[in-house]
Amino acid sequence: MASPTKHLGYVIMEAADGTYRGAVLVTDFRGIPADFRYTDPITPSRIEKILYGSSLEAYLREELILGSLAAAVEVKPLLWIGEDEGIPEPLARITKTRSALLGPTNRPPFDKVGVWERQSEPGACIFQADPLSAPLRLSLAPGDVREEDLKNTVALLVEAASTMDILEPFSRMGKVLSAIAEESNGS
Amino acid sequence: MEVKTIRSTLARLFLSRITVRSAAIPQRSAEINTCRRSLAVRPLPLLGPPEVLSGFPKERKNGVVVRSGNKELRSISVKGGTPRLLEGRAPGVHGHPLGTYRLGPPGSIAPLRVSNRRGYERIAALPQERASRLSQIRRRPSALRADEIPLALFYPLLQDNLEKSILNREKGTLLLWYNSSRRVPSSRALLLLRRTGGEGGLEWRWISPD
Repeated sequence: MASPTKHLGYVIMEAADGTYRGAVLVTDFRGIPADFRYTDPITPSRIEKILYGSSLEAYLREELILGSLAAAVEVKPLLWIGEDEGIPEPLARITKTRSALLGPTNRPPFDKVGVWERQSEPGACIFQADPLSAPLRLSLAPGDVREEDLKNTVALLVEAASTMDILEPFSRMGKVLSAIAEESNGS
Repeated sequence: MEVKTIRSTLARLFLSRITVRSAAIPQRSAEINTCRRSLAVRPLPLLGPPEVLSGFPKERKNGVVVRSGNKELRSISVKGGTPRLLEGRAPGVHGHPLGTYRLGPPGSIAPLRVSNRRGYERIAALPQERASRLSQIRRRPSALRADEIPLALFYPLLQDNLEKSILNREKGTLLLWYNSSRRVPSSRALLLLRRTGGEGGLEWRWISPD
């Protein structure tokens, strides 16, 4: 019996000129899309800005955008990955799935694939995802800060990185959102 | 003056009493507006594994046109194997809308579906992009001969899943289209090199990443 396909979920959130929007892309370990969702752009009204005050951003990003996206996505990934610090914690809370922040570093490569080095912040490490790249920086959402969680997440990402570029889907999502925005603006 | 009015005036003057009238007040219901929003999320579930994710323009059967910024790039090679170099064209030429199509027999391209699932279609049609990892290698690849100079190294690539690939010469990246129906777990690296001896020229070579 074939093993179930493993997936990674990517989340981006954009805020420009007072307008917010977000998208999720779930891919298999080859980087091939399995599910993609995006929100309509949201421009908070003046009343909303007054009523929500300093909590407006959190409300829009966490409750409205992340909550809506998480509820809509049908293919559930093993790990949610964000490139924005504000994403993993609320996403882990909403989806009850491990969520992490992932980004590049300028560090020289480690000797072996899978080697990881814990960082001072809880749940953070730098690890060697594949033999031909600089180490990546991983930060798990608060709550998933046990050594075991970090080790398992690194192992999962190393497995995925053997067949895909695990940061590449972010750029694809950005391109699609730009194309959709251009289409909406009639350009 | 009416008797009623005289009585009222006397009552006010001598007894400090005034007439109090009553009137029914119509019930009013205020309309309540809320600032709460229900957010529309586009439902774009995957109907099935996409056959081939590509940007085939229907009218061009000899190659693939990909838009990069304001430039349109054209490849000569379509089917798997190693990619060929692109010829960049002058700015101002716009690409074709991307769609999802099924590959037919060589030389013919039949559309798989045209629908309004624009979000999924768009992302499924987009190629994956690989940047060169040449700067990350610690030692010269053993697959290189003395008279060969490495120009770019792309990894990871699923060689047997690769439907086609295009080198974007401006960005130095490799665009990849996979055939999702094949499931081949092993990946390899693809090296672009220049031969200095003999006839010279460029060459693509699959190598092991280790």
